[in-house]
Amino acid sequence: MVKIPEILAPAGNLEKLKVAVLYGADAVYLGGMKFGLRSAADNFTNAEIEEAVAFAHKRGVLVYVVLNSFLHDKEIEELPPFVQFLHQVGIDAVIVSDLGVLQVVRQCSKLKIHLSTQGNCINAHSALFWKQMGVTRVILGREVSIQEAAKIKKISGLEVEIFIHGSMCIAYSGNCTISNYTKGRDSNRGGCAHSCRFEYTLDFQDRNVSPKSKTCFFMSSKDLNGIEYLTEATQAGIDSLKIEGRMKGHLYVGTLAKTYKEALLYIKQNQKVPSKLAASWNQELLKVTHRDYTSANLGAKASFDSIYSDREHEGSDFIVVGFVVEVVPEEFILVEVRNAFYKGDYLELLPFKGKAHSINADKITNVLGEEYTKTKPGTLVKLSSVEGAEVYNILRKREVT
Amino acid sequence: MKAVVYYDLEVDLAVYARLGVGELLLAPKILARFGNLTILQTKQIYAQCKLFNIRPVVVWDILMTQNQQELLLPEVRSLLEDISIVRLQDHGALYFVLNHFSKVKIQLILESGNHNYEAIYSWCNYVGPSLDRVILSPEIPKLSLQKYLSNMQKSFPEVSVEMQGIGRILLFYSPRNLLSPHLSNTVEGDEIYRALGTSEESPHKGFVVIENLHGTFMFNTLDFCLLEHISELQQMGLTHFRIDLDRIADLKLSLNYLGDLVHLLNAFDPKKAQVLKKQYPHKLIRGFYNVNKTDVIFPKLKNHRLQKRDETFLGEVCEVSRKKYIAIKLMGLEAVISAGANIELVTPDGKKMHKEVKILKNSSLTEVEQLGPGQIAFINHIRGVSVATMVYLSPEAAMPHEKRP
Repeated sequence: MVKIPEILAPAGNLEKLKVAVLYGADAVYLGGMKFGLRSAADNFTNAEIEEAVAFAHKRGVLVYVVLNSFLHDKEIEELPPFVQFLHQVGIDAVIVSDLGVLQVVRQCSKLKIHLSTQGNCINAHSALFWKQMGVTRVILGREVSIQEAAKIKKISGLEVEIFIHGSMCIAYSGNCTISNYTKGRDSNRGGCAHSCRFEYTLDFQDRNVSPKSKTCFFMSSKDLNGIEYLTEATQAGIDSLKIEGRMKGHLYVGTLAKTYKEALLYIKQNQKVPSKLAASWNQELLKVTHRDYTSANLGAKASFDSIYSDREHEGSDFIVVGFVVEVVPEEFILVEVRNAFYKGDYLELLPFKGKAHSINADKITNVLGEEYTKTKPGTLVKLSSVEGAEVYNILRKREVT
Repeated sequence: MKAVVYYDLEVDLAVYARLGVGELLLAPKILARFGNLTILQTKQIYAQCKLFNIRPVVVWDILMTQNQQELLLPEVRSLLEDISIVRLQDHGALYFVLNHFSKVKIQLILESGNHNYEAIYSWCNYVGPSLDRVILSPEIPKLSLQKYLSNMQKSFPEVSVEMQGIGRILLFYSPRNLLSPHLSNTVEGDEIYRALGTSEESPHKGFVVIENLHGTFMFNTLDFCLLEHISELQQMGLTHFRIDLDRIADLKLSLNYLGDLVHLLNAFDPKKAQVLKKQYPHKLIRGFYNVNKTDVIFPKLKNHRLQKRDETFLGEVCEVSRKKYIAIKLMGLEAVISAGANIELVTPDGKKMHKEVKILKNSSLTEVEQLGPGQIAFINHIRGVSVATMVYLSPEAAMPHEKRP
């Protein structure tokens, strides 16, 4: 049987980590309260990191912690106690982009070090350099194809990780400072203002070209979707496939971890994927928040059709209506409502494994037993018992447009 | 402090020599982001520079994927055989030169990040005797720069240090072609497209955008300038001041201007610096030279009242039914709530309340003594509490019994 890559899912907070783990991620990555690249994400307190490690390790899932911000001297001074804490609680690796951070990690722990995509490793010589620096895995830049990643792995002997799904930087990671100068927010320290998603008017300065001017979203990338490249990635021996999105919601995390994991397990058993099955995986990926999809550089160099020429909005066919927070078998499931749904609505309960269950919300009550015809976000409601339902299962509903 | 200038094919080396330029950056088209020299031209000019007592440096500052590198390495090898100094950013390029051309001196571009001395020190240490120079980030503020330069002089006295002194500020570097696809009529053979970009987000007008064979580059609407700080930078120990006039259109103006800049570096005069700033064809900024506060906003990106304190955290209110109950989702490995416990509630708008849990119920509304992690606890309604309120064991309750008042 072939070895399949690890599915590495984002964990913006502890709840999302549990969702990712339960829905099939082999590893998760998270940020502490400092030193990461998502200042606006909930992130994890030290106690939550301890809990995350306990929860994930109990289920055989690895935990990587991001230290991939471009740190200043003061933070470098503050880093050792946190690194020692991470070592002590038993996380599986840190993700680093700055050579200074890497040295601190090496000086005060024996933690494994993964090079962040911010480190711009896109060729084998670069991987060999980072290997000398003590890195055990390189998270390759999104500019490399799967075949290039395979070469880099073969030449360097390092583990390689590539992005398989999620939002894309239009620039080489770490080589964009638009937010720094236009918003006063350091994009490489967690303050990216997504200026690449704005509309720009371009005045072409060359007299020989037409049109002379165009208003467009010229540097907004479509989202990466690599579901069709899983067989190739497996055959190429890629070690880890990363899903971007620590700022994304539970439905995104759960659906992607589950879909990619199930697809890889199928490939492990069968190697060839029938087109109908591939189509069904793609259908699942349409159910989460996304811009239009592209395979970017996974197969060949990203072309113009990788540009998202529309105003920034992230749509999906489905919305999450709630999460199962308690199951009393044969009596009820208690649901924490996130988006309103109505009596009689057809919902889908997404189990951790297997196909979604369609359920009819024919009876909705509050905990006092009072019936509702419409639910409100921020409430708890009881629905009829669903066989196989578990805590943290996601309930979703087709978005009516 | 010495001037570092990009070589322009249209300018005679004799002119650079006359202007007092001591070091020229030669940018081959296939290796440099804004290069226009063939490999042959690069080799020829490199050789000629010596005749004019100018130190030539070959620029290899593009990032290369594995396939691109494989394609270009034969030409790179042939070039490196004939030169003695190369300027690099790609870590793969660095590894390659160190391992295959150990006699070639390296100028290492550390302009992307490396905002701490630990990183700068580690790079210098790694490259070792092959290191000729480091090029530091223009985002480093004065106080940090002063510290780095002082440390560099002690630890790596042979290594020179350069910063951009004046010129355009590169905002991003993308490998994708972002301009040409918008053009319905392009001239065959053209490889460079230029546009001025205006963001819908006022007041950002006039971003210079350039597409060439290496991808697309965007520059800030304002240019960078540290002319009035030349004397200060010299005293700090900065050895090289890069003058990036290569993308300014009026060459004649540029050359005269370049001469004045080189003269200013040799004999600093604050009044002359002000005059030169006024003559510069674009608006200028100091960037983050005085202070870099690009992270001060971060704490404001989040509601800190919704940030959990580690100790004593029980969970979060997930439902409030007026005059009836409050539901608390017990989170955390050791989150246990008992009837009679004293709890502290912190609402999203920052109000703090201390209450006693008089009655504790589970989701079937059966009275219970205790509930634990993962369960939903229902308690008596408390006025002013909303969903997302954080719930903690009261500090007193969390204290060991013997310390409680």
